[in-house]
Amino acid sequence: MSDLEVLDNTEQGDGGTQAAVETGVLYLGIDLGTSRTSVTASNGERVTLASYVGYPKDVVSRKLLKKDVLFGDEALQKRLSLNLFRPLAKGVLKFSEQTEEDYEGNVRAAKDLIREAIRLAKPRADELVYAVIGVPAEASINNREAIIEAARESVDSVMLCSEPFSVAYGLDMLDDVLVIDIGAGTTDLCRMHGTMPDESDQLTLDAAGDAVDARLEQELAACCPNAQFTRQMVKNIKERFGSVSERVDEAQVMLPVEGKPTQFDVTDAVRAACHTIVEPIVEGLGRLIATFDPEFQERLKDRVLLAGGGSQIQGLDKAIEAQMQRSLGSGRVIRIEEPMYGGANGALKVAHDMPAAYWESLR
Amino acid sequence: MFESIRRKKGAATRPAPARSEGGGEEKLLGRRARRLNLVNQAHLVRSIDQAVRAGLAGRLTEMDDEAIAEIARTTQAELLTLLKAGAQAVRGLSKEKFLEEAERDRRRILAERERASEDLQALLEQVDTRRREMLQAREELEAESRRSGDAQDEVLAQRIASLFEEEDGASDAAELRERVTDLLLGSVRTEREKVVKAQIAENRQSVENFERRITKLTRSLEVTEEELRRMAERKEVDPGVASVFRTVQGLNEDEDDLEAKTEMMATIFEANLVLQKGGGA
Repeated sequence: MSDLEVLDNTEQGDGGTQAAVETGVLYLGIDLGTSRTSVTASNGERVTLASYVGYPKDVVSRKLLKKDVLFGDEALQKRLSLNLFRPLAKGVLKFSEQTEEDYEGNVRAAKDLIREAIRLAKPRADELVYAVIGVPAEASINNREAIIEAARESVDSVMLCSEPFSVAYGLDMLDDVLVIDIGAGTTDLCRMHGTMPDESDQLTLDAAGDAVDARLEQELAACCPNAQFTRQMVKNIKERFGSVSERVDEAQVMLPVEGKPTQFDVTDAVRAACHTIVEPIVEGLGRLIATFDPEFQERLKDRVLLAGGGSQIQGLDKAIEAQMQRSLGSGRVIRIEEPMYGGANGALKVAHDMPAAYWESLR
Repeated sequence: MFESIRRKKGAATRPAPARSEGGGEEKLLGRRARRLNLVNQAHLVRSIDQAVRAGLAGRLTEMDDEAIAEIARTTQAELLTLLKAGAQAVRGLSKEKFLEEAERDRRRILAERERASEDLQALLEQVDTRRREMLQAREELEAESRRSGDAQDEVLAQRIASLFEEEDGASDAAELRERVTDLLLGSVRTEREKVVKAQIAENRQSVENFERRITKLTRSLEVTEEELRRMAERKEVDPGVASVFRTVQGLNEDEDDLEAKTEMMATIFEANLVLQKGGGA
């Protein structure tokens, strides 16, 4: 190093010749989902983790696990030793019809989950962290406040925006587009027409990943007599074989029957379960199309974006198109390239485009 | 606040960087942080040269430029040598070294915690035993006291009775006997109760001492746990990955649909302002 460093114990001497200390700004786009939480950051990091948070049940399990809190797949794997929380139901914090204890637990788990997601994005200590979190279009005010409260502990400033809107914004498709964002808890539909969508432009449906799991559980019970399985096993089967196509490889799974692993063909069961969401989604699309300017309805039908983890079901785009043909006369569905990160990428773009003054006002 | 932002929005689509004020720097560095001024060596050499020339000018008018330059060179060389000799080498700890150190600390704290836990456990067992013993002793003492006390009372009463029988059976003597007997028995009972209370107090004192030690040990265990937690956090220290942005961005002026996007950002902000600050700011 050729420069000579001189430590000056007094305040800066000559009044402002030194450059101001520059603080970086880290933008985060967060898709806080029922099943998975995805984060993309302006430092190039992108992370997705299962939205599970577990706390050791007692001192013994804590000593064994060597951790106070576990997240994602690790929490799922060790769930027998943990008090396991899936803090977000239908994309928002679990709230009503629960005891105070459950609620407190979910809030704590949500805070820890958000903190962990942000930590995984590797922010530097000297950077400002500005985050935009995508939430379901119909999240209640209580839920929005709770998510804000949970995020505030880990970021300098935070904003919420509608999840399907962020998907469209991220792809720069702001005009005459219909977005289908299939999550675990809800499927959000959003109509974009060049301005910020309002309540009448958005629909939230229960026909989503969890509903498919529930249906698949019933189908398996019928087609795999005496087989034992848990909801998690059902979810794994769906994620591995999920398809609505007629021509697919057979889905063969091993399930225990009285303790003995037994092979079952679950192709039809999986297809039937996955297909259950097609009709409600197209029905929802129909409602949004029918209330749109008739002059632009055809264009809207031609620009349907399919996003979210649930969109990974094989052949779903074609199945929705076929159903749109039958119910609405036509339709063209475009599956986005990164279903897991579509919402987070869009939220990141919103964060980037948000003016500094707005961020400062919310600090 | 919000209104003023709205007014600005139309005028300037690219907002100024958020952290231009000194407050942010102070927050970042802390109030007591010292400033580090970096001086380029060439700049320092030039400054010495100028200082020497300024110092000599006017005093030694006959000295030629060559001689002044020579004095400046000598001063520069001497000053740099002195500065380098007196400078302290500052070196950061490598991540490996840091982790090694953290691991050593962690092991030490774990051992301390283990010891404290064992001590606490042993102490708790001792207290339990002592409590049980105390209860048992108290019950035995009370029973024994009752038994022996009754016998003693009887003996004492008989002695007094026989003592008075030796006297004449005057009516005032019988009354006197009764009074003396009551008096004596009352006195004996009081003494016995005092002894029992003293023993119970002694035992209680001993248990309280144990409890104080337990409280102290528990606190020490909590401190160790806290230290461990901090260690765990330190161990996970990661400098992080720097963002590609040094300042707050905002929409580019050449962005497609700039007007629509500006409006959308304002709408999102408005909704969040209402949500987070109730609409006022």
